[in-house]
Amino acid sequence: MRNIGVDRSVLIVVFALIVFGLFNLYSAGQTDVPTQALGVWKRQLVWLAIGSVTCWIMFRTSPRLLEWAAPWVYGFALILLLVTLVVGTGAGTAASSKSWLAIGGHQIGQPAELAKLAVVLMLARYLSGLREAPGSMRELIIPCLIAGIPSLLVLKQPDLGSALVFIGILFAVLFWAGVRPHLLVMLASPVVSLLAAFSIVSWAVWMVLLTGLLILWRPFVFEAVTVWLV
Amino acid sequence: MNEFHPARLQRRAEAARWLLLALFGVLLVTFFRAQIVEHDRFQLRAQGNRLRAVPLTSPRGAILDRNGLVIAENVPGYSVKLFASSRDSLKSLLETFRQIVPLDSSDVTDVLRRYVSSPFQPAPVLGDASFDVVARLEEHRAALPGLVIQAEPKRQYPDSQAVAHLVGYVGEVTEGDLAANRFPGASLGTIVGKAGLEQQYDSILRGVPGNRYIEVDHRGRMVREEGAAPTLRPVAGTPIKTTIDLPLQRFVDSIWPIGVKGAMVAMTPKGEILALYSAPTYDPNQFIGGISSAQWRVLNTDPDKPLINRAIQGRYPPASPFKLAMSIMGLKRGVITINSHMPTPCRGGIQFGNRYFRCWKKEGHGSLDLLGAIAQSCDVYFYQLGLRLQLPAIIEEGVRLGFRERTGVDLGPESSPIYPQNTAFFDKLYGPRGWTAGSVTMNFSIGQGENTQTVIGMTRFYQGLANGGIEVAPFLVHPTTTAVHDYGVTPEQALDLRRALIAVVNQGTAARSRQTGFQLAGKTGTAQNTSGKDHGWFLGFAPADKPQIVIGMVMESMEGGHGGALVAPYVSRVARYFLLGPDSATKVLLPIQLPEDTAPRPLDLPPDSTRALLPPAPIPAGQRR
Repeated sequence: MRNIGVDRSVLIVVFALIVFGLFNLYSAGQTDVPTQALGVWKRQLVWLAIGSVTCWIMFRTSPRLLEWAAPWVYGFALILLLVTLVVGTGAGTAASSKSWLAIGGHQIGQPAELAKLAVVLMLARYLSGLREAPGSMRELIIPCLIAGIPSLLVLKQPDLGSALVFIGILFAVLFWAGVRPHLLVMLASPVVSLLAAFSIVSWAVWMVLLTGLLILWRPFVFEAVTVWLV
Repeated sequence: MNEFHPARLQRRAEAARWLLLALFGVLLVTFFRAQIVEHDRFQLRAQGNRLRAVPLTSPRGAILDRNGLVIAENVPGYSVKLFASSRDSLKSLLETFRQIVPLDSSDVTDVLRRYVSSPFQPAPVLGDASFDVVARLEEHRAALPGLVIQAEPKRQYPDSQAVAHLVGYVGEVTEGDLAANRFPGASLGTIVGKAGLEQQYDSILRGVPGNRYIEVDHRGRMVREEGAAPTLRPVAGTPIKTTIDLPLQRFVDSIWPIGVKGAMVAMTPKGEILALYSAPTYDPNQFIGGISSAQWRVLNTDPDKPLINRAIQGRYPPASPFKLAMSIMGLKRGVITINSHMPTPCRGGIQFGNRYFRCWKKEGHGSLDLLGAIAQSCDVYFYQLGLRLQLPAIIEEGVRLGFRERTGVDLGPESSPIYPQNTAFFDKLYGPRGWTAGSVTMNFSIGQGENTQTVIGMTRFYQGLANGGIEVAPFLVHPTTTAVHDYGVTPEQALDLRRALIAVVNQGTAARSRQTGFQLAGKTGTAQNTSGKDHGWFLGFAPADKPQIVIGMVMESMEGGHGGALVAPYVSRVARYFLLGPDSATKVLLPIQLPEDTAPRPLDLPPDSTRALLPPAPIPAGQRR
């Protein structure tokens, strides 16, 4: 088989996780009184097969095709998210949120899942199109919008967990694209400040750390801030 | 330089690796803490999620009579509960349930209401299900997930309406009771005593409920009913032994005329209550397993108020029986002796000021001594005795004799008798110029006026008379006080009063209830009822020379002039039953007219068939046994 650039160790890890997951699902179904969890591991096998085929197809697809498709997929995902806000239904433990699309009472899927993929593709397309990695806050505005818009739409469902995943994706992609760490820290600092503010001690520690980092990376802190403000 | 140059990628991969390792480190520490350091705490909390407690009713202690006969006991019963994860699922479960066992829509609402108030416990649907119902439900168990059927001890009163006011009944504790902490140790769903002895001795009878555990999944649906966790066994309540004589209690119920309201208390001279009865009565068994709202409405809206215990809660003017209290006051204060005659003989009434006060007997009694006045219940004599004593003395001595106090009997909420503390009472009631001491004195002298007493209170007073002027507190299980109450009369005076009470039965107003075999002593009374026919009293004890039983009885709204005379025969029969045994009094002899060639002959009838006959036919002379 032709080497298509698959990392063997990644494959092994993924396979191990799949097997572990199957064991877990099988174990969960073994109750005294049979519940619907009994046959879940078999269904997982079916999904595994579907997933493997999809995976193989994706590897065979040209990156150029993916690059071309990215805006379309992204646009489609946004439309689905908007539709979900209007006609979405809840499910399971989050019955009151509108995260699912359903046709005739049959749940098809969560548009947020598609949106995650679309954001990854869209960010990759945008960042790889740049000559250099973004070096200032201003240059980060567009990537932030690409991840932020679907994130806000998901937050409106409301589904905070999925919304935060978009932020994680944003940071991971920016990091991989070569954005300097200090820029990422600065980008994250308002949110971290907010979270740390729940406890005076944690907030103080964070502020000392932040000041330290600023002095380390930008000895001319005040000048930098002034310049950035202008 | 290209950001994707291998060297740069390598550096970023390195950084990412360290970051991920650090995050895994945090996860590991957290995992260690949750699984090992705080294992016990989380396991406990997980069990709290996994297990739901189902209370197990503790068997209530039995209530026994003085000879160990059962007044209240437990029989096996079934309670049916439904366990549901939400109100909606309970609702749909109940819909299925109704197709198997019929339920009122009001019952369904009730079950839902109770589910909402305690959603983590199975909602009680049927408090007392028959074996048929249980069998039918077991058959359809597959269609009813969350069905919990429990064998529970169920309260039963074998003598039902005969002991209703005595034992009371039990029911589920209400939220109001819990808020007021009226039943310490009870929680929602606990069965507690709601009236009578069941309520009075609830803390002793109740025992400690246990718990059974059922296992539920994360949505609160039942997964396992048995063996999820060890069961906490309930602790049975302690039985109590009362002073009641159950056969006597049954007998009173069997002879009580249908449709007559009233009450009866019988006690020994030591204060041990032998029987306590109130009419109309009700069936306490209908409260077991939850009374239906329809039945509850019937009991509560009945104009005869069957739930009221007339023996301890009904207040009646003491009327003529109070003349004995007047006599004691007079003897004690030395204004009369047993042989004293009053200046004005009875000519059917007496003029006082501008008013004429009648005696009950229009023809008059002539000049009587105290013994004769008690025997004939002459009002004119006691009017004059009252005027001699003066109102302040009557009130002061009445209070001292205990007419202002509850008897403190260990049974439910007893009404306080009404008797003035001093003459200021009348100033307050009518205004200082709105009343005259004279007419109030006249009324008090014959047991009327601002003086109402309970049946048990008056019976206690006659128990004191039976004891020669020494009264002890009546009780059913334990006396609330051991203090004795001395009326302050000499033994000779007490004997004189006893002779007068014997004379009442032998020649006076209760002469018709004279008995052979033992001597009854007592006093009749007719209490004027402002809202209808008069109430009849009889209070007495027997045998007169060595009392073994003291009986007080009131029958409301009796026909005929002297109501007490109609009540006396019942008291006489109760005394006869107690002293001479069941065979002597269960048969009522009625003259039946047979064809003319044979003489009228008495015919034996079973006691039940005579209950509707009112008033009871007197036993014909010559046929007494």
